[in-house]
Amino acid sequence: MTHSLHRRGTRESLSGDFVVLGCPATGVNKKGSAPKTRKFLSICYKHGPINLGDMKTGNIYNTTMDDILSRVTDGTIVQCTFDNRE
Amino acid sequence: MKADKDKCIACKRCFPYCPMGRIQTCERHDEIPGRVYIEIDQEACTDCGMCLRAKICPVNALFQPEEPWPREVRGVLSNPMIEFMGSQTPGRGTEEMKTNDVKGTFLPGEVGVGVELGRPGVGAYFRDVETVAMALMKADLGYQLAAENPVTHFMSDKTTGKLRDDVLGEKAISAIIEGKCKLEKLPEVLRVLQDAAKTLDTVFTVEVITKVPPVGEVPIVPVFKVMGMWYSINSKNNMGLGEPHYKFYDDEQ
Repeated sequence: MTHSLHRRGTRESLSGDFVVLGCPATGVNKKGSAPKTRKFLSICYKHGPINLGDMKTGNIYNTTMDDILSRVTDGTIVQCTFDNRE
Repeated sequence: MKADKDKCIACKRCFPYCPMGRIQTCERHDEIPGRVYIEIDQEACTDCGMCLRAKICPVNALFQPEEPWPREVRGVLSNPMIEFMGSQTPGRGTEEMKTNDVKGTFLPGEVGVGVELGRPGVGAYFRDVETVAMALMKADLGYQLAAENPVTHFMSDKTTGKLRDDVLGEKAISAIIEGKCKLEKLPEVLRVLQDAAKTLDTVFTVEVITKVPPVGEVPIVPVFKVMGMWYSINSKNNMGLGEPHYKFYDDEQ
């Protein structure tokens, strides 16, 4: 249920939901992760997510994709929610 | 969280946003005739900031004062926007398995065991967190606490799981004890948690983390089946896409 608590519906209608997280590792690859995280979000966006964003900036229901991308820094943890696997 | 009684008009628009439920009372202002304002129960409030972030107060009455220690821990654990310096991760926990592919936090033969105490509407006092942490450490099962976890940071004795006395009366929406042990110790660890559950004034869920070996058999599943424990199939999976890849096995390329 991580990062999908905003979803409302029946058990059947939510059965295809899955969440993809992007999390840089402190001390390993956090430094310089911002451009990679932006690219990850952009790839996710192309595949029709029903939600996408990061914890601090917000998601596409309360701000814009451009705002989310512009606020990504080294270490930002992002998530993307899909409602089907196609 | 507090509401400025000189601004608040008791419209109640913030009520539905409180994860702890109905913790507000309406009071009559003693200087402004006819004015009613809300008082937030400071004992029940976990300073999560949800009502403030919702930006629904029409008169900007809600405000979060800078809280001194030990109340400060409420926000650290309950407000996801506050990053705990020890973990450098927003929220209550650590990176745990999310970065296992590059950090090797959980090796083959090891299991991560996290205990998440509290839930919206219930919360958890740190005295209950301490009860579980001390039970785990007293059992002497080789359970190693995650050093970067906020709860570990609040311990006065990390060998016994004892928390600082001044935080025991504080409360969070939820708090996670994180650590790891050997796979063969998992049944005993789970039994310790089952026993500890009987003494708590809150609820908890248990997360168990394992490295899935190349053959694909999830090594913790047989443990749950033998013990007759229900487990959720909605697992969190590390896809192993991170670079540089941690070398888990000697023959790994």
